[in-house]
Amino acid sequence: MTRSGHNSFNVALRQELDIYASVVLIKNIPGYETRHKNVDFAIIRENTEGEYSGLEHQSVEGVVESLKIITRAKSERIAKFAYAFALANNRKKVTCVHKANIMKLADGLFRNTVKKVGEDYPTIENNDMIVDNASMQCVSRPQQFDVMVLPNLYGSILSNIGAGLVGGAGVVPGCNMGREVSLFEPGCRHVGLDIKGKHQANPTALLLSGSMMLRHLGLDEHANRISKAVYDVIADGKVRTRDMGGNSTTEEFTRSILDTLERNG
Amino acid sequence: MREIFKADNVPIEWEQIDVSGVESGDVNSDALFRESIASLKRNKIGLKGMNDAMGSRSKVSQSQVSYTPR
Repeated sequence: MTRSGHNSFNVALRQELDIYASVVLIKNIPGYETRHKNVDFAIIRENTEGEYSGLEHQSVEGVVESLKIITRAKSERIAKFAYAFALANNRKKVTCVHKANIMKLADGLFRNTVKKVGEDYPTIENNDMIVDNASMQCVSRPQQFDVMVLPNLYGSILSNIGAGLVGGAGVVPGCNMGREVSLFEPGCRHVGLDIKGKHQANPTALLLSGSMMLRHLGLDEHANRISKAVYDVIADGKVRTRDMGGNSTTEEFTRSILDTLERNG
Repeated sequence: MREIFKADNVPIEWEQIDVSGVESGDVNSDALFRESIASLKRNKIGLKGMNDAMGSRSKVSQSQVSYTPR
């Protein structure tokens, strides 16, 4: 199970460095048609607790307990991050996604804490939605979402649904923010073992994540030039990797971006 | 990635750590993990991706950057 090994590396990294907020941007790429138009929302996911506490044990043979941890402190921290993100990025609404009708204590604490934090941000609209309904709404009318804030596992699932809306794991950038460290990486963390070594991988998500990193460093001009070159190549439509319906290799796509960078000057 | 950053003369120095060994249960996985943590703590920022996307043989790479002022 190499996948789980990779995941636990990620989990360990996030917990060790306390990179507590995952940010994934779900937005249509100009020139790349998908079923839904005008999709533009951000997913803010709690990255360090919830179902990913790593606390599992078998009490007796055939009975496993897996502990999901929700704390007021960490719920408050991610809620503040989500609202501050909304303010800073001129977004209007924060939707808290939960399952408080079933996990009354754990998700109830998350929902109530997010709601309370929201009171300090009166200009930002807020609502909450049960995770199963949110998943359905996401695939039927995704335009209603602006910023979503979620506990760990729901965040992972909705990030993947969101990626599916706009072109898949190969095109969605993301970052993980902590108190001190910021780690940028493609939005849904697929290893892509199925296309390993086939030179079919789409570097778009990584390049856009890199471009987000440059903005974070204040290198906006570099960020804009690089992301523009990526978007130009995709919009042009002649050179695309397999996941986007083309037959170009990773290297051909990269070459085309380099050429476009040079042409754009 | 690095090729594209270089083409745009991005003022960044990379510190690359290949963590594919961690995933496959490499004997050095502990050391690689600690090195990644140390690098991220030192540089405060990092970019992590699949090396496959860059046409290399290993599965996951992790690169950290240190920021060189313009």
